[in-house]
Amino acid sequence: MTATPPRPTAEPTLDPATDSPLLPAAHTAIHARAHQRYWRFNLILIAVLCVVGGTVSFVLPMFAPSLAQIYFGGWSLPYYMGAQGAILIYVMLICLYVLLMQRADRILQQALQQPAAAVVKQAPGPRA
Amino acid sequence: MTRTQRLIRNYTLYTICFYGLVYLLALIEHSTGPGVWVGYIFLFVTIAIYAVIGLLARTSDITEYYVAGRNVPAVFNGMATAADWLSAASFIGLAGSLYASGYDSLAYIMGWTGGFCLVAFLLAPYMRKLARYTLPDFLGTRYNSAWVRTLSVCATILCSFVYLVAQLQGVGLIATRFIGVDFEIGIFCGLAGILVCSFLGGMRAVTWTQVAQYIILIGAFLIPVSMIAHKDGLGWVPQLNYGRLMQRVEKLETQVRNSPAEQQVRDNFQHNAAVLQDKISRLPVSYNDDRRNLEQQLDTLRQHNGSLREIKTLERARAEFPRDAAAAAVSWSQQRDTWLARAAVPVPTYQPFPAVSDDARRLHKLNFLALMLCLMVGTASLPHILTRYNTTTSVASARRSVGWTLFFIALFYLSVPVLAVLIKYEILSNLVGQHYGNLPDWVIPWRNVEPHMISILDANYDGVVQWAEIAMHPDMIVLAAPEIAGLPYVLSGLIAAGALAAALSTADGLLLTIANALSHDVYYTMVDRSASSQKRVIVAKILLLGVALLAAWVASLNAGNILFLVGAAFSIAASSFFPVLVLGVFWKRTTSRGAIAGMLAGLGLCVYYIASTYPFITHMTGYNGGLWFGIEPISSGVFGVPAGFVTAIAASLLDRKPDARDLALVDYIRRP
Repeated sequence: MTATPPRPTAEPTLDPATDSPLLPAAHTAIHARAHQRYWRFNLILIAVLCVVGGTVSFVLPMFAPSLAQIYFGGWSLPYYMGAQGAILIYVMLICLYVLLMQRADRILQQALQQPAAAVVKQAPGPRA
Repeated sequence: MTRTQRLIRNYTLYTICFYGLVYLLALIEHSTGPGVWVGYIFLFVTIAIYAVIGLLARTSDITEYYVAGRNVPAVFNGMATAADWLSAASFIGLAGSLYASGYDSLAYIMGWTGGFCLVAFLLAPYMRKLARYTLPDFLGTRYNSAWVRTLSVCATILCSFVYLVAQLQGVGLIATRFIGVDFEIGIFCGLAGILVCSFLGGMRAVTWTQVAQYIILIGAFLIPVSMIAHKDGLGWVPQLNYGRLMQRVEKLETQVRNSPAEQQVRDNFQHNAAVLQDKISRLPVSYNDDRRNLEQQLDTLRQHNGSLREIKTLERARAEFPRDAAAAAVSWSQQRDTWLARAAVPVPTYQPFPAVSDDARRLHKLNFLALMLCLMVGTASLPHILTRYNTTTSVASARRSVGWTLFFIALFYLSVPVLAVLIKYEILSNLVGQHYGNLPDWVIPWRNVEPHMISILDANYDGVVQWAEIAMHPDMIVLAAPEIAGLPYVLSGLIAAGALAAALSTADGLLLTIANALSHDVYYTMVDRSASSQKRVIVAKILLLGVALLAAWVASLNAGNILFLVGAAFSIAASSFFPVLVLGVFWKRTTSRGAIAGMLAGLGLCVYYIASTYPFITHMTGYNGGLWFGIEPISSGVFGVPAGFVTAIAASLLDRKPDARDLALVDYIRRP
């Protein structure tokens, strides 16, 4: 058995001897742009979500002493945010990331398929 | 029926059977009364379950052994990772620490959950995409460098091994309390429990036992919480409305703060601290005096036929007496600080950063934020968590799996603060104000466990228990919760089984991570590239056994201070892995030399800071570097991580540009 395990996808894989990737031969400018768009979207999304998460986890505790007298439902606001609120927000952030990235994956696949079918036949096929 | 449906059916059946058994035991206990047998049944039945799963999932296929064949559905991988993540410290320690230190402990809750956001955004999808076997394998391939691989193996072992030892000690504690065996025997029983899971089937067996362990540990925590809350009139889902209880607790806490009897006790403790301070300032004279006094007392007792018990107590005191004046200074300062801490006026649970002055408050806040940052980044860099995402089916599935992981972990962490408040309410309303004549039943067994988990002494001799007179070890809060709240003993057994599941599942993951780093990255990649896959699996299994025995031996020494090292493991992992992992994916210009420099700088600075500031180590080495900006040694990652980033970036910029192979590899990693 080789160093790389079998993969269920038809994507380019690593060359087991040199550990370097076997990129598809047909790598058109349109493909490159689609990948670029995908990556930029990923970066912006990560930045936005990290800012939200960072605010909840770091900025809020910074002002905790002055917020401590705000109550709702019996909880002091900063305590609630630390004990439950932050966790719920983190769960939402990850859900958002997963959903938006799955959408981005689909868009990328479509962008890769159309010109590949039209221009050259050697382009990587759709995901398994 | 698809594989996933079959898995869901099997685990549903398993869940029903297990909780059916719990219900049955509760019925038996109801009719015959509680007994030790409950503890035995729980511990042995659960270990038997894990052994059966481990046996069924045995394998000698290399991909199955290292990464469970990369076909674990996202939900199940999420559950397994949650069990992998929830350690003995989380399960046993966190609620107790919230109980004892209130707002401060929220740093752990936020840090340990927020870290998974970083895993989802920055790490897991890319690790899965490259589809390697271990974390050092990922880094070694990305940077195409044996040095990076070696350094990663060292860092992996460094942060995983202490963590593993701590899990085994947790198992020892549970076994001592619930089945009454010796600490060492408990550890070796636990070792057997761990080996039956991982030895025959590697990652495949560990994955499926971890799912089973998660189902036990989450029920073991949520069911008692719901029952205690229901008893207190909060309904079955206290996570939504325990704010009401917090207000009641606040009122009781105010009473404690203002009561004259409590003040008396606190003054008394203040006096004890002052006496010790006086003795410390008169060292070494006071040391010799004390020692002579002790021996004289012992002599007079022996000559006048004192009772055996008194002699034994004194002999023990003499045996535990500090060796010399320097040791006395250390141990007396510790005692003095304990008295001072107990003499402090209790602050409300919700109060953020209590401190005497504004400067102290600023420092307190800084340390809170630093600790949270280290725990977050550390969570995202722990090798045994990251390798778990290699077992998913695809990049998208790895992302989903992180979401599931956080969901399953959140179920647990959302309930931890609830339990802390419930127990605090229970103690404040049922134990405080009792007469010493009728202390509740649960106090006695916990008083007799070694080391003492609870001590209550009548400091102001009024015959009534005061809040300040109770000193509880935080670790007993969860394990004793059902007894404190007066629930059936069967729930204590269930909690013990849950704690055991938490400790065993984490230990499994850690053991496998260490052994796989040795067998794949050291043996296969560096020693024998031509080894057949059969031979590689055999070597992996032998190494696993060796690491397990070594860890059990270290744990059985029961050296103190291991808990600090577990906390430090997060800083160590964060400083050595996080910069190179993130830069490796997000900055193409990172070169292998940059990565080596970054890892060395991060790890080096982090270890240096711990070694030069942590009291236990500075006493051994005699070198004390002093704190930087007042940051505690446990948060040394706040220096290590930036150092790693800056060094890696600077060294990469000074180095030649990465070659075409590396650039193509990064492009490859980034594509879904």
